[in-house]
Amino acid sequence: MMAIPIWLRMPGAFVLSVLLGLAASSLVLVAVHAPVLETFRAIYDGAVGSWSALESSLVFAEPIAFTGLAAAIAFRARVWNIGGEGQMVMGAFGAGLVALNTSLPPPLMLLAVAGCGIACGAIWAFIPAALKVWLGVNEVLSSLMLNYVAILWVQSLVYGPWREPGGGWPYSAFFPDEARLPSIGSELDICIIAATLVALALSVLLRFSRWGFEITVVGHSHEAARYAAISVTRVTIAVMLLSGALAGIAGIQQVSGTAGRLYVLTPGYGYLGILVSWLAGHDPVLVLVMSVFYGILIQGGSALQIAQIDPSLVRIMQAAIILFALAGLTLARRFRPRARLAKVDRA
Amino acid sequence: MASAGEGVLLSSISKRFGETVANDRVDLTLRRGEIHALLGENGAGKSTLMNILSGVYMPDSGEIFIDGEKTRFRSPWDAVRRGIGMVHQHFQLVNAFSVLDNILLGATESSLRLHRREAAQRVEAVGREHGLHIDPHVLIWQLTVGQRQKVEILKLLYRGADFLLLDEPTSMLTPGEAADLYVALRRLADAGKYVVFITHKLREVAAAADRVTVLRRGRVVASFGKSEASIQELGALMVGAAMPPQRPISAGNFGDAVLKVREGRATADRGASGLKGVTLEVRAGEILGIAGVAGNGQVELAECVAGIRSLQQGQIWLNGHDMTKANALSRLRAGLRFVPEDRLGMGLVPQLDMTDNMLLRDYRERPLAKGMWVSRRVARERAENLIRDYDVLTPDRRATDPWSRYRGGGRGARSPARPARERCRDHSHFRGPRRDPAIIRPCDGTL
Amino acid sequence: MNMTVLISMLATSVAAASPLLLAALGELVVERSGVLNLGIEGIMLVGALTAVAATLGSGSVVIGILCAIVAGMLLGLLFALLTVTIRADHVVAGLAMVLFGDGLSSFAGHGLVAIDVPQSVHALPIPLVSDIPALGPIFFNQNVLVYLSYIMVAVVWYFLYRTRPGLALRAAGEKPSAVDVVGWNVFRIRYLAVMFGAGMAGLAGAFLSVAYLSSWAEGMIAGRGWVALALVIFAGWHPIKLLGGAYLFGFAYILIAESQVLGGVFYLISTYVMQMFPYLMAIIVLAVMGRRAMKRRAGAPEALALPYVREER
Repeated sequence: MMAIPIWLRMPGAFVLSVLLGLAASSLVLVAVHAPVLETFRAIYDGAVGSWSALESSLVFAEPIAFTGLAAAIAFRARVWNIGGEGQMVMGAFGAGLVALNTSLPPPLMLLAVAGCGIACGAIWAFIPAALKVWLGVNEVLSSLMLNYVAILWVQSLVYGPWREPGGGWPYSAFFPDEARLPSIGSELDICIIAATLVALALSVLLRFSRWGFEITVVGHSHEAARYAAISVTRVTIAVMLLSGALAGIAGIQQVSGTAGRLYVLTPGYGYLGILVSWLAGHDPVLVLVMSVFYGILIQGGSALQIAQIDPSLVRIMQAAIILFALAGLTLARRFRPRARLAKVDRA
Repeated sequence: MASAGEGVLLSSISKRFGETVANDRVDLTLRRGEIHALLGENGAGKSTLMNILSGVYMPDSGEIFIDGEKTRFRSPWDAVRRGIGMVHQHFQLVNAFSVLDNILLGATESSLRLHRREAAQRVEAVGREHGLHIDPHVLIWQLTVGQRQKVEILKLLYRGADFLLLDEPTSMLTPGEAADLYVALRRLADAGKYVVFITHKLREVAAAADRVTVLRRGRVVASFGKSEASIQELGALMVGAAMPPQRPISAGNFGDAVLKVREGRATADRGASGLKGVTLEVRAGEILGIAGVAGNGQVELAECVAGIRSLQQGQIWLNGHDMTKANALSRLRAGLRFVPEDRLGMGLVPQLDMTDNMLLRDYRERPLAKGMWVSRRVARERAENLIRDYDVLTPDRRATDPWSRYRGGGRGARSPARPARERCRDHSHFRGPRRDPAIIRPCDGTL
Repeated sequence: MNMTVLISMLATSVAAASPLLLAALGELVVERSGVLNLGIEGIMLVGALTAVAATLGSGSVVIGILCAIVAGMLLGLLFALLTVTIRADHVVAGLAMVLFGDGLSSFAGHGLVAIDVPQSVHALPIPLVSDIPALGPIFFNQNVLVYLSYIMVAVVWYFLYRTRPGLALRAAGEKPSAVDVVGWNVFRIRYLAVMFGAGMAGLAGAFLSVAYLSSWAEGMIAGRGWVALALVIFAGWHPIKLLGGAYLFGFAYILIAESQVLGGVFYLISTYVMQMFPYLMAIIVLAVMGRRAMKRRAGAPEALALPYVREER
């Protein structure tokens, strides 16, 4: 990946793709006789029209920002971590493990909850990393499979031994207050700040630190890394551990922040993180921007439900935008203006 | 001049890619039964010409005549049907498949079903006929490089190819395998086929070719029959200047041993031989050349000294310090510099610009490093100095363009601008004779 | 557990396994050609919905199934356009496909949830063969689509290993340049493979909605698309092993259903742990294959998920 974010170079491609996606969605709406303007109005109002709407959008953006950052850091090193979903779920599990089974005094409890969640996410990412590094296993496939193992694991806990006593739904008991993330405003929690800080830190580290340079080199060529005496093994594992940790935070945010208890997490945030990171060219700061954009889309969907318009419309819109963006950005990245060779005589 | 009738004639072929002129009004005459060599440096246009002949590229202008008939290849398939076959420098074989399946893949029959038994028999028959003996049921990954090349040739013969074009055929062969190849080529030519091979190795032309055409910068510079020109003359024509005279190996005044290897043993990757008890010494101010047939442990020796491969037995000393257990990093710090054979794959990262490539080896040391940070500013300065000093061709003289945009010469020039002890391997192979003096000189003063 | 119960369980396993088998067979062909389609789940959803809608609309379940296959192939065309022509990242495109299929089917399926499809496919015992003790009722007293799945395994195997185009397809997944150089069109091969795979996924979805259950519900595919991916890996990309693997997984599904009888915590653990079974098995197989692949004896197609670029020579 180049030093200059792709997005800055090709803003046109992205904006065009979004517009096309919206246009395609409008066609779908027209085809099913749904009120086009009203739908967009409802989405706008519900997602950015008011401060509370924006807050709700940002709440959705929080976990996606973290899974997006998780994907970004891994993909920079060309480690295809598709396991963000599972690592996120394990992060939630880790948080629940401490929150529901121990009682610690206030500052310690939160730290333990966060620490355990992060550790669980990191361990879950370590497995495909180890398989890749020592057995040559394709990490796309292994991390993908582990996603479902993690989801089923949490399901078994939440339908079973950890189910809230007396409750009919698959939720755990509420976490004690000291295990909850401190909140900002009425819905947001500190993760929004954490995400921003992490994104900035990653951006700086990747660009200016030795470690970031190593990641870039490994991401481009393992042979060159060997030559530069960079241990590909070490970098791969480190990057995966960090990636899993970040995805784990997304899980912690959902159970310790928004919901307050362990449950079967909304599926898809892990995968959305991958999509968002890709759209952002794996640039940490842009990932943040994209995740806000995505949060708005999701919140828009909820808003539609309230306005009694079919919410799955928004899922189609999301998909249409992503498909167009995928096509548009790929093409734009390919057809960069070619540099002309200097006319110097070779004599 | 070929008479109107027999023969393949490429007439005034021109081809350009963007700003670069790859072929400039090239005339070439090929005859049956003749082994024809296309000689030229990297970038002279040899591969492009052959790609045109095999239908991969279409010429911008010019014509191809086969036996007097104007021919136009719209796709590689057209050429294949006409009996033209190319053996690429990097083999187009599927490693997981058997020899038979690879040959069947390239066959021109149109039946839907695979008739493996009959095909296997035919493969063996064709092999016997041309002196290429390969078991059709062996899997490709189990074969040596020389054997794989035979499979590539068999692929062409199986489908009745009349023209065999070989791109740098001996680049990955041992001298023994190369000799085998020349014998096979002779046999094929004698059987009435057209045989053309691309090369930049002068000795190869002398050894194997009946006729040689020299290309330089996209133009035909000369064409000779066997023994009509000396190696010196060919070299001069290829390069456009007289070749420097060969330097005699002198017994100079050297200092103490700087690098010592004693009884080094190491295993190699699957197939190749490793190191079996190598002992050597390099003294201060001395350039030590290590000669040997490819595959006899040179790669392993270099990698062991550099610290990329571990030595199973034996010791290595650098400047009197035992570095046997030291990793590549510590050896770097001790002043050792390694220039790998695969300069493009290993020494550089094509997608990164020169600034980042500059950082590649020295990013842990000052002044490129500052604590945990890297200074791209310093790296860029260094890169720009290099570009100036070595006249590297960049898209527009900046150090921030992706490396892949630089043409061949620039990349090699970047590698040696480093002080201290060098472990130079096989420079001339990649670079061609002309650039060698410029590069070898910096090495001279410091080893 | 007596014989009759076991046989009945095995028979149901075969039925449960068949949609997996169909989808995985399709994906096997796709991956062998070098393309990774993670979007199976989404395509199956669309196929399931289309089958229900078309059946109810036309009154004929055959038309319903055919429409499902066509719907799948259209999605496959879209996916191929993205990954083969535009050369977008396979993983991202696949995930986007799942999103798309999920949204599309939820949206379009709104009015059709839980409506019973009376014309669903019934069991069709094959005369004579279905009377063979044990094997008869298990394999030959199934519905037409199950029989189709048997045939497809044989067809795919024959195609890949005994025909010329099949050889080219396998080579496209290992070393596309080798295929290109001898005159095959790698792009066309991959397009056809992807469309075939997506059509099979559509068929598998249809199986679930009109043959296995008899209605449409959101999320009814319930992860079977992902299990199909696991199955392809588990089978080492080989159709015969795929058959065995599918039945193994199908049996696991049935065991899960049966274990409800046991109740309590044991039921929960066993349910979920057993559902993990396909994924864990796939990982184990990957690990085992990993060591062997290092010696080049088996493994994923070499060029899997790498877009083919023609010019670079």
